[in-house]
Amino acid sequence: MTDRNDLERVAGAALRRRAFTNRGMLPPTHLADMGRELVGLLLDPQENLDHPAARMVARGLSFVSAQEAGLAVQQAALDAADLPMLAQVSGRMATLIAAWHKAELDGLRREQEDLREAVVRALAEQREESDRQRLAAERSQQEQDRLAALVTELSAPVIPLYDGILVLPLIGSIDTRRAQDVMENVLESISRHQADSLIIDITGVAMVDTGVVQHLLQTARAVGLLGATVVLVGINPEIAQTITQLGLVITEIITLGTLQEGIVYALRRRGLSVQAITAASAAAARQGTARLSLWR
Amino acid sequence: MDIDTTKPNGGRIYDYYLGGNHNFEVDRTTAEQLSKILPSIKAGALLNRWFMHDAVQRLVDARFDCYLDLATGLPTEGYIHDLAPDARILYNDIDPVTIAYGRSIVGETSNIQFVQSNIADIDAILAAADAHFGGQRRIAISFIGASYFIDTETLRGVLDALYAWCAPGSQIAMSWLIGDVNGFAQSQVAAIYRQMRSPVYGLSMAAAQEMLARWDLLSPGLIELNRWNGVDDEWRTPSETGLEKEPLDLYGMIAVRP
Repeated sequence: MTDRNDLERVAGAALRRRAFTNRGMLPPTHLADMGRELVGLLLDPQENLDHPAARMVARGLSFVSAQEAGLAVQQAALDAADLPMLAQVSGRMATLIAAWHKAELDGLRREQEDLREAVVRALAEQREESDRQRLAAERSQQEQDRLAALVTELSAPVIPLYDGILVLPLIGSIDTRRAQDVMENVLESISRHQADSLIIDITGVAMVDTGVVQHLLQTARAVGLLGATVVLVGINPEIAQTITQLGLVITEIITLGTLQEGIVYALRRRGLSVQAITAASAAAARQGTARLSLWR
Repeated sequence: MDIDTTKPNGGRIYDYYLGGNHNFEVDRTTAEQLSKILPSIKAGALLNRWFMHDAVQRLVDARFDCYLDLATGLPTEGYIHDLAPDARILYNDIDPVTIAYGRSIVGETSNIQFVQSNIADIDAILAAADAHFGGQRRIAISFIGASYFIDTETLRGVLDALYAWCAPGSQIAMSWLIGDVNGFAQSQVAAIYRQMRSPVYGLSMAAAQEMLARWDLLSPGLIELNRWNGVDDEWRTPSETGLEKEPLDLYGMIAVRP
């Protein structure tokens, strides 16, 4: 008869020899307990080896070390010429190996499924995050577009001066893109106000080159197609010089010295003029002012 | 964050060495290739994880309820939250993908949090620890399998910061690579790690002891991890003359902050 304690020691030693095949969750210090349990599985009455095998697999015991321990116990039974025990252990080992494989496969399937789910979750989180970032970027782009539109509008305001008369004061430098924006804005304003005169004041324009003049001419032509006339005012001596040096001849546009002259011209085209009011109406106006001041 | 299951990931490769199934074919292939050029890598991973198991069990027995884990990797089964299910745990890793997996595998709860940070940025980690532990600074620290990937000066800074931050009675479990530093620097293994842009920094025994001088070592002291785990040091390369003595050996210790 083989001593149970000896068998447990033999099994524990075998497990320890194969310690590095076990999983990280099973420290070698637990292997003596594992050896005892394994001997119990091989010797004690068991209803089913599936559950105990699955438990040992889950605790990190490798098949290699379990097999080594089983063989060591068989060898011990053989050494002791304990044939009934040898027969029992051999039979149990066969069942245990089958149960072991099933448990390892189940564990593998379960953990791989966990991992897949983890990847899906992590990817979903990542997608949510990038969606959030994209939305924020879109919002900031929309805001930028709005601001850019505002700047464009402010940089080329078309001012209705009087019925049918618009003034476009241009300030700063004009590049192709801005000139394009100006043209669109102007044409839209002319048709909206049903204007017949557009006064473009370039007093505030620092520099004029061929491109800008071309754009002004183009704008004038387009305005003409809408049935209106362009009056260009505020041409300073430098710009006049540039225009002549560039060899450009401006015949399609009426050019005048100042904004005031431009206004007078545009009014005259509508049969209107600016003149001093009569003495009587001036007095009435003064009285009106006086009356208003009484209310204070 | 680049979650690409067609590229190998450090956390999943480590999991494979530990016998886990939280890895993909590409991780297993890379792990096997690495094992060929660095035969001790799998055994080293196991020795570290077993040590962590034992050390954390001792910390649990000492009734710590707050755990700071540095360079966590994938906290698969048998990790701190399994051993200390009621504890507050702060896991840390530098890799956002590993953090994302970790969160998915373990689940982030009020007790378990993850902070993505380089260990060198220990102040950020300690700030997260203050937030997670609600100001409790008598804590257990686990710093296993990572110290030797940090250059000596940074490591010294990390240990000083931990010492200054944690309350007396706190304990730290830590593993080291200790031995013949010059011999290791000239070895092929060191060159391979350098090539992988993950250089390994070993320490002489004197340097390690000096870094731990202010801490009180608990029994059995600073000893080789194979001795700690009660196994033969199989992680050395077999040769005709027996087991080849490598310049550096894995050591572990648990210490108390006085």
